[in-house]
Amino acid sequence: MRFVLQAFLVVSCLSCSRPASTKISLRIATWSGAGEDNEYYRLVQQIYRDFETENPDIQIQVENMPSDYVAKMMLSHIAEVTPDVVVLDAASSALFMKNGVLQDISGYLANDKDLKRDQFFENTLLAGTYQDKLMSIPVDFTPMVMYYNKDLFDEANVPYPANGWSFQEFEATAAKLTAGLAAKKKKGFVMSTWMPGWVMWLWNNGGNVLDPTGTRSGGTLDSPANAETIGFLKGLVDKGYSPKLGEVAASGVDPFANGDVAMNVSGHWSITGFKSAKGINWKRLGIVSMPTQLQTPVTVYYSSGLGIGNGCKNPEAAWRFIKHFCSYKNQLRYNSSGIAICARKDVAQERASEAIENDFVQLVPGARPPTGTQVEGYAFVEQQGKSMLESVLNGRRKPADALREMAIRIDREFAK
Amino acid sequence: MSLIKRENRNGWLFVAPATLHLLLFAILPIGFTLYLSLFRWKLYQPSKTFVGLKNYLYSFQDPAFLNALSNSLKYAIVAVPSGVIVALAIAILLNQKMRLSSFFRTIYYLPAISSGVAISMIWIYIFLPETGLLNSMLSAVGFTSVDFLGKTETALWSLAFMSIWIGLGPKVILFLAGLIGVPQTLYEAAMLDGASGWQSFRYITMPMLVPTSLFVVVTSTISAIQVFTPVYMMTKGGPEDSTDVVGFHIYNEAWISFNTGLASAKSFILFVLIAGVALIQFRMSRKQLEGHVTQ
Repeated sequence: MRFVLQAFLVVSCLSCSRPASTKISLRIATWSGAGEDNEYYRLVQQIYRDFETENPDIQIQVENMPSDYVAKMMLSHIAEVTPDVVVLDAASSALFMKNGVLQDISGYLANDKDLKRDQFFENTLLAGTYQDKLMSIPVDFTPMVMYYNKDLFDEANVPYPANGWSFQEFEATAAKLTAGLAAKKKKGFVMSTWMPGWVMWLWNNGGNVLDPTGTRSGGTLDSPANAETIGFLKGLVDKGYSPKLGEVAASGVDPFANGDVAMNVSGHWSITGFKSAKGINWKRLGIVSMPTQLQTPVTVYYSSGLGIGNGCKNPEAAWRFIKHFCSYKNQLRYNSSGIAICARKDVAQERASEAIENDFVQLVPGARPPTGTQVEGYAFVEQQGKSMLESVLNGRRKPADALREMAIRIDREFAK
Repeated sequence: MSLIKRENRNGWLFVAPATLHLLLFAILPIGFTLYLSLFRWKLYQPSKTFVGLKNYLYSFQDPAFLNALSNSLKYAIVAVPSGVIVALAIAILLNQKMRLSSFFRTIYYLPAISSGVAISMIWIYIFLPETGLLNSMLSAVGFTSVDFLGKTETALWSLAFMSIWIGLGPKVILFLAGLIGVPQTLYEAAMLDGASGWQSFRYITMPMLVPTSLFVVVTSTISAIQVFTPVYMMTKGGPEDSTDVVGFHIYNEAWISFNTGLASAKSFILFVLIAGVALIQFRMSRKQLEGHVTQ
């Protein structure tokens, strides 16, 4: 025991007496897990190592926070140890931007000779903008779209959908698919209760979740238009065009990836899973805009970006890293993982040689940033949204009642 | 220094580390929680507003918190008695003279030394519809698949069922210790008097196990009301808030909504509730304990 203690003291003294490194230590916070053994992880690690090679005065220190990223980042902010570079999820960025976690980097972008504002899709910059201040540079993003399986459409002899289709056209398509595929017990569509995946249905019928100030839900969420939309979605399940929630759960698999349904709403990230799915041929997948009752379809996009922590002692070094990560060369490499669309137009266009990638790029102009980019605590709203739709689809609440109860809960929460 | 004084001093020195630990990691945090509960405060905001008891009043009118309290109590009412009964039954079996009893004791204790997160992940697969272990067994005997964690009617009870297995180890060990402590002479005397197995259990084993049972029931109730990990890992409070237990609700209040003052008030309510339940259990069992002592 004494030997162990002595050894510990000797090692401690030796490590204390070692001369301090002259390198700038750049702390980078991400929500990735440490030591993941996949292509994406290796790509990112290579980009980090290249940065250290090109910038020998800087040493990267990655801080992985694979769960509760938002809470951990807020705690680090309170403790005044915010990492130098912060990866930002658009869905929760308002909390960071409104509470001084990040620096305004508008000046860096405006004065940079390599990285220019017009290199990015304009609407992707909105996710990192608060009160006209740019708080993060967008890295990648995905609009939520309707995927469809061309093989199943052909099998049911149903024409492929086109951008700008209406709710009625969508329902008719789902009905024809369900009828045409009935012999194989396949369905036209699958409805998910995950709110980031269905909030666009409300928007496309002229509805919304919060009022324009983003502070109140009552009078907006419980509108007749929203009740109509939720009723429409419930109708898809009731009429058998979408499997019931219990059936989806009972199957234990993604019914679209398994080839059991012909249409599904999701983002670009799903493609990586679809490529390896045995139930479908990913090359026979198409995407189309969300059905809409408006002149022009709208959808939400989810994105990630890079910002500089407010307490960063070397913002110049942090900006060098962001520039490095967002450079054409590195973004081309980074986006080869196929998870999302690059926020840089030149990289996105280059990758759009594949038909489905090109279709995604065409839908970018109609994509809005998620409400969580402007409203703090939107995660609570999304939790309530899931619960509300579950209760409606399971037949326990009427759409209007469920929306009213959800609005009351949200307003109670926002009033705390 | 007199012997008594020296012994007193040594006694204080012996209990000092534990007292310090209790003070730093239990008494002070509880006091600080009570202090914070009197403020309206978001964790990341620099200023706190003193609101007195408003957070408590708000909590008792908050339907989501009341639902969580109700879920926790329902969970405890099912998980505690069933857990205790199963543990006692297994302890009695393991107390028999049989081969491999040490092996079985080890097996039953394994969940207690496993990570709650890992166990939850395993049980997600056990509860999985269609392909899960439980559903495979049910379908083998002709039952249809049940989405145990996806239905409001079954989710909470599924978690309670799982808790029986998780909590088995420590309870079995405690009951085994209690059973081993029952003098064999009592059983021998009962046998000579012609008592049946059930009569021996009813009039010897059960009364002799009262102190152990009381300890097991109180600690199990406290754990059940505080349940968090399986809910966080397996259901996130769903479906439709049917598994939103009070521990998970407070976690969300503190770390999703960052309402530190309100979360502190709710935590203190939970603390009082647990203390109250433990007190009631002690009072209810006092009579039986007194009976045990006089035996």
